[in-house]
Amino acid sequence: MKEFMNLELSGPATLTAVVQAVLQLAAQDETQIMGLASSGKFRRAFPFRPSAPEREPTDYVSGDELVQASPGPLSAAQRATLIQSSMPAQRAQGSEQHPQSMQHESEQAAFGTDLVRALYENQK
Amino acid sequence: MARNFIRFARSRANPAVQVPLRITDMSAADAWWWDTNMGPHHVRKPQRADRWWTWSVLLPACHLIQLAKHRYCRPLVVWAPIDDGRFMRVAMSIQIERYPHLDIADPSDECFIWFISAAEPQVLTQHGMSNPPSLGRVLLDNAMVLSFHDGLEGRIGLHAAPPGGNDLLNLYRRCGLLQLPSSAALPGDIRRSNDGRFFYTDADTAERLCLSLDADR
Repeated sequence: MKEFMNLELSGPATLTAVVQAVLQLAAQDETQIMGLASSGKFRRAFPFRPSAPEREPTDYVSGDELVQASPGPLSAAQRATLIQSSMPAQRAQGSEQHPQSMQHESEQAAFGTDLVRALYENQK
Repeated sequence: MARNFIRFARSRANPAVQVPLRITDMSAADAWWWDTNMGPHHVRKPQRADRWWTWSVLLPACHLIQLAKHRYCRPLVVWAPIDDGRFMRVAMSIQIERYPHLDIADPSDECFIWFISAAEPQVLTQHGMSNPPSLGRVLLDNAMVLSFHDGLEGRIGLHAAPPGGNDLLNLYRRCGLLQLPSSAALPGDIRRSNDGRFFYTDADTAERLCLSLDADR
């Protein structure tokens, strides 16, 4: 199963590369992006290389441990948390920020925050 | 009417059995788990539209792409219990909040279902789930509930991925969605031509579909 996750990507996941990839993908519509994903080409277009989380997610959990999603619109803080939680814990070698050396969750969170900030900066 | 997400779904094997469900927000750990545990099964099924989808890449990418478009994603995970009562992930979806409605005669926005994936029932059975739930209506209902709460009166839309073929079209028809005629113009945000694989709900259809599941919330 590991080889399914560890396919090599063409480029390193630098902050700049990720922002460029996002902006290029954002120029396409959602059906075109889904087409990329369905043909197996999306990973080439988006230079994130997901690696195993520090704590392997468990297969089974009790119902009490699950936090039911809110069906209502999220607050800005909730949205930020949700986006942050989607970011891989580690990234490929070659980042200007050397994410592979990040030892603490706060450092990893900073990468995600910088990524979103860089994205906004590019839009100005 | 402010509805909650569905809490029960019918068993695929025995519709008389109600299977409890939980709906959670999706994190990188969920996406990683899905890729590791479900991905290898899906990749062997050429008829699956999601055969090559890598959720651990798609999840952050979708958030960031929609941020660049000044929109937000709302990714969800559906959980159901194995026989000892513990829950496992059975379906994943990524919705876009406030997307232009596919029926351009209606100027409202909708909740657009971008990516949607349900586990193979046989795989769930191997995990010790004797009653895998029927998930098609659940996944569509989740989007309609988000739409209601967002003031969009249950309007949703989606594009059936071409690799899913006619089976996928028939699934969405059976679920009660409206199919946009292939002659219909698409919203300006969608640049491709209409291939006849777009589905949606209007406010009346969404109300009717959700009402039929209200007892399961």
